Amino acid sequence: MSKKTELPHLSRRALLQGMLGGAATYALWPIRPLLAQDAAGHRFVACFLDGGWDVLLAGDPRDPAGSYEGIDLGLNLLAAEFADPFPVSMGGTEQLWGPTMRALQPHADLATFFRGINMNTVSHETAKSYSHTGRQPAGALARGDSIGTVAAAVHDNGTLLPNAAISIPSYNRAFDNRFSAIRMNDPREIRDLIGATQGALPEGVEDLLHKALEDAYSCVSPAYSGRLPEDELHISRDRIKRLQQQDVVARFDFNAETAEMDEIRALYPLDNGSGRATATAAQLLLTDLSAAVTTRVRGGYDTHGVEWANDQPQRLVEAFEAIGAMLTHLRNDDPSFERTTVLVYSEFARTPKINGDGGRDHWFADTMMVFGSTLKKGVFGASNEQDLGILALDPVTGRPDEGGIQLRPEHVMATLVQSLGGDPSPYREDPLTAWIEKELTP
Amino acid sequence: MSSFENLAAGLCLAIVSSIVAVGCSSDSSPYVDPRSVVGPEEVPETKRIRRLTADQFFASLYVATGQQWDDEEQFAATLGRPDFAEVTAEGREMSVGFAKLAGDAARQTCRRAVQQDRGIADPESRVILRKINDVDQLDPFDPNVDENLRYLALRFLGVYAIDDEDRRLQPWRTILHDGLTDVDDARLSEGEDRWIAVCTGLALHPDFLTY
Repeated sequence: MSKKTELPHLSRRALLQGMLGGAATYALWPIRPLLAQDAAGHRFVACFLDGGWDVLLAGDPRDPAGSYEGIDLGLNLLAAEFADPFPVSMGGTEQLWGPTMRALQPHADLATFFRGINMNTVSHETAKSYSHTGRQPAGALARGDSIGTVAAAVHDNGTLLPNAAISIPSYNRAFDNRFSAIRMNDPREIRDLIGATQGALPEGVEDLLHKALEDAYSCVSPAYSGRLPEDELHISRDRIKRLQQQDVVARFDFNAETAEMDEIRALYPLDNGSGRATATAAQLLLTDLSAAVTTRVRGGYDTHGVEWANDQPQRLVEAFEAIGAMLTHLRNDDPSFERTTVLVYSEFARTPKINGDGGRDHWFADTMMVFGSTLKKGVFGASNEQDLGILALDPVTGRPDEGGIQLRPEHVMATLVQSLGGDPSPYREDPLTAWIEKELTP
Repeated sequence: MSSFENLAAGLCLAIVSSIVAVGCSSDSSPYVDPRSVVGPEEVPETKRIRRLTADQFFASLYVATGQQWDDEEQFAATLGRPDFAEVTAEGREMSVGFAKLAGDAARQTCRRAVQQDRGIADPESRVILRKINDVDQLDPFDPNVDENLRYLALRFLGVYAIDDEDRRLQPWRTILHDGLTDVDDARLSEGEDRWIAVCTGLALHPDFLTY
């Protein structure tokens, strides 16, 4: 029996497909930059809920019809309106959303959730630094850059305040000074920062003062090789001047009788801090003042006692209504979020069991939510159905897999940053590439 | 030619043509931020010029002008004061926020200091106008202007100017005299604002805000 050489079976169709693929690559390559989406000009908002949210009422709920050996849903303590999660279609699958999240339901088409994230700590300070940066802190001291700083450095295309932080710390270890956040203790401070000079002198005298400051230099400058303070002050004064010339401060006066403010008042719950924070964040982006904004939407989630049953769900509703309003607002000019990404997160979750005081303590299995167009829609990961514990997950499907990975903030941030056109290497974990739908070009 | 050879030839053509196309394409040039006039910090941390912390700035302004800014507590965190709960490091960036709020603070304290000085007869008790003869008719061409500027340079910046012609005094003299003459009646109406501007400029000088 003669030996027959085995060649792979290749049909004429396969050959033609190969040739057509090559020809298409050849034809489209010159316009590749036009097809790719540039990261510059992309907008980013990070919304932080301070104190540790109850994911069973929000991003990782359980069906109250089920029984769970390690979870007490607290149904006997909660008001009826907070007892039932509701089904939402995400990426073609049905998922449960917590009863406090109804305000986000209209934006489910943009949502990617990461469930069962191991925060590896139940200390507020450590977990905050960890969640803001996606890198394990040294004690409570942040070691990485805030995600807002990273986004600003990647997305900025010449904005006057590339990175803004409202009522929240911001870290910049690796990027140029101009990407350090302008910090506000309260969202209302934005009007002081970009508004008219307080106690300004007559115009001619102000001009003379400005000229004198332009000529001023530090006594050590001639012998100093670092950043000169007069240069940095000059850049900041120049930006202030341009901000004042643009006269955008009126667009942050939410009491003004203008059509734009009428729309904002109708959209946002401005009678609370959550609404003011998210409205200010949206306006910073819509006025092109900033490329990235990080805001503490609300605090008060650290409900260890009997107040949990009432305060936790109501405060979640307040925050999600404000975030929902912001998503609606930002979708006005970017309906599919082709150039917008919103991250919603808290430092950790709360225990699945009710403690002796009628509240919930700190728990490490957290959830993060992303609304945008760069990630695959749906839910990556899961916590243990029975006890809200951590599970090993398949990095491709995101489903439980004993041989898989333990999901950590590093994975989520590396994935998000790579999709936004940034460098994921500082996170020292492989991005979940199967969940990146498109990568912006840096 | 077998089908396999045909396929191989087709794929080779595709790969070669793709490589040629890549070689011919040109990426768009990277965006250059026109504000990027300062490069990355290269001086070791311990040798860097450092901005005053929020509390150092408040204290310095108080010492220099004798006046306290009304909004210190409101804006302390924005100016970089840590809360030692979440933020443990002093904010020291020369940010837009710092430049704006430092300007507001300097104008308010300087205005109060100059106005208060105008009501004090004893020159040694004055803070800003210590060497000026007549504070009722505040004349930018007062014969002791240069002596007062040398006093203020020492007070605010630690600069001991022994000569009235010291070029470090020139910007402040320009603020006082520019567009006026010593016989111009307008000089008396503008005197107060111009001294406030001199004080404000000294409080916003890089040597006042850094160490």
